Amino acid sequence: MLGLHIERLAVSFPGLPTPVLSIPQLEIPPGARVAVTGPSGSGKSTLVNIVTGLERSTQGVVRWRDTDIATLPESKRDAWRAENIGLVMQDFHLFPGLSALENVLLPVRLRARSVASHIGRARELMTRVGLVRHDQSITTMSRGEMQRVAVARALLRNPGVIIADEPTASLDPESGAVVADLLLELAEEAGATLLVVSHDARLVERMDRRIRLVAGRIIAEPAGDLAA
Amino acid sequence: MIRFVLADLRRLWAGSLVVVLLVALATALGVAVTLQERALRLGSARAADKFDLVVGAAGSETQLVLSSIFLQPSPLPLVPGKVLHDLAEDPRVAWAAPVGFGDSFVGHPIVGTTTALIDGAGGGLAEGRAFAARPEAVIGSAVALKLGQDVKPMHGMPGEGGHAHAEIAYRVVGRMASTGTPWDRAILVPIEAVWGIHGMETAPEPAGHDHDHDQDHEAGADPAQEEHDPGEARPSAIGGPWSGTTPGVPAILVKPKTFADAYKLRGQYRAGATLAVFPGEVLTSLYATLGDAKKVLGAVAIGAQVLVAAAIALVTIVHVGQRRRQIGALRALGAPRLALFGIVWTELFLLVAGGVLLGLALGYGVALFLSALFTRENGVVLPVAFAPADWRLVLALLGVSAVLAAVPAVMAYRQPPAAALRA
Repeated sequence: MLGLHIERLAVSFPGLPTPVLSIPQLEIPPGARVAVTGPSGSGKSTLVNIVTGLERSTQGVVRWRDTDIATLPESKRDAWRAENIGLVMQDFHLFPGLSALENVLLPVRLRARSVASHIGRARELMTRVGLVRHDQSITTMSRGEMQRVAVARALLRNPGVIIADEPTASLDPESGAVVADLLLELAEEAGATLLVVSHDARLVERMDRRIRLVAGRIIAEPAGDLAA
Repeated sequence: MIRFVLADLRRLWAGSLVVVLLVALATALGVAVTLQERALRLGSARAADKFDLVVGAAGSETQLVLSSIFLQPSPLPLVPGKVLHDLAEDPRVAWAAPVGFGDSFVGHPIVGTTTALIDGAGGGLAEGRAFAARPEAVIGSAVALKLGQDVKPMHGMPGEGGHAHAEIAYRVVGRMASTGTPWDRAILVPIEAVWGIHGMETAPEPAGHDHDHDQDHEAGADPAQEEHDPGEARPSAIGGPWSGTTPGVPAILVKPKTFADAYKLRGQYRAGATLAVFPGEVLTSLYATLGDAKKVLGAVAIGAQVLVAAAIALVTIVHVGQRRRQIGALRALGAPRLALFGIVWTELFLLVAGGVLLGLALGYGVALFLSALFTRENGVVLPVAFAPADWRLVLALLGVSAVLAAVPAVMAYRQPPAAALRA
């Protein structure tokens, strides 16, 4: 369970007059469930990239508990991300040619860790998300099933934070609802902080807190506690 | 990681197969050229190994060696019988055997000579006995005849048209052991018989044997000898001794007693109307030509390999570019950069190394096949074998592909993960 502390964050790209993301301060307590909304181009993806360490901010502090990932070198950030963040993406990023179970185990495998100790947990999670045939090939699955595999993959290593980038956007409403339920329930069970970027009103309204981004700035938090 | 690599290759099996085949063909070309050239050199050197000195009439050295040792059909000018006599009497000579051509039997050259060549050129007698009379023959190991069968000579070299000699039929009395040389395909008969059917018995006739045999035939022959051809049988001994009036022969194979004798004899018979050569020396100059051809083919093979390498490099760089999102996703899931380098490098290196190994096998197979064809046609066994230098070449090839595979791998390594995730 990790809390996020952002201070004086500004992300600029060369050639652009204003920063694409500018957050003077943001606090997310451990275990919170936060939705990030906003029109496209408002900086949501940049925020996800920054808080997951996929992109490095040149300015400001991005601290999860006591780790300022803005100061970590690339390989350390990779390692930190693998350890602490479970990522669920809009288009799943499952790898064809591998079974569902292999896909769930892939992040562990690619970090050259022993897979054996994770197999039990992987099967447990897959059953928990409602997948029966663990060795089914990814290519024969429905989109809803694929996203459930991705959710199981995100939770495999008990991450302190689950970050979902438009997890329901490419699913039909029913599958979307199932995935939304799973994300909320599993984050709760694992005691993980949940950060969801979404346009899906039904998902957003179930979160504890909503952050709205416009043009790279947080303009309002309908749920209360202002962070700007 | 290796599972991911294999799953990926399985998914892209068609493209992977094309890459492997391209590499295999380019490698096989180089391997086949190298192996075949070496086999040709080794095989011909071994075939010429038993022959120290060849004496013929002045003319082409290459043709003399090709005809007398490799039994390749070509009309040679004749060397006078006097030379044969002198060589046979020479104290520096262990043995000197004439070789006379002109006839063949179902593709096998019939060589008129003396029994000295049964050991001197062939592998010695494997069964039966040496010929002791004119209508007798000793066959090479690759001649599909049995002892006691008859050989009806056809006039003309193997592969040429010609008419059958009705005057004589040789009875097979012995078979030589195999040597892996053209002599395995030869049928040895007494030189006197060859002279006989070509009407050259009384005097040397430099014009060769292109006249009408029917009239030249000795009529007053002794009818008491063999039953096949009383007209041909003569009581005279075979295999010498020769005299100044002995008919001419196309070539004389000479076994000198010592190295020094060999050089002296060669010097002596190089002058005037005769030509004396060491087959090894002639082959060496042939190899120089062969080496040039090999260089050209080798350059072509290297060019093909470079082209294939460039094509593969291009394809993989494009491919890695197309998979930026996938690579980014792997990073986002926590894969270290080294793992991505490893995946891309391993995939490419597996393909190229697989292609190289397949190419080795393919090239070896092609060389074996060509050598087998060559052996069937000419009797020369071409030993196809890898040399230590080849393995160094293979290692170098693998080294180059390892370095080449690192280029797209480094691209994957350096790719920023965030940019890759953006749609």
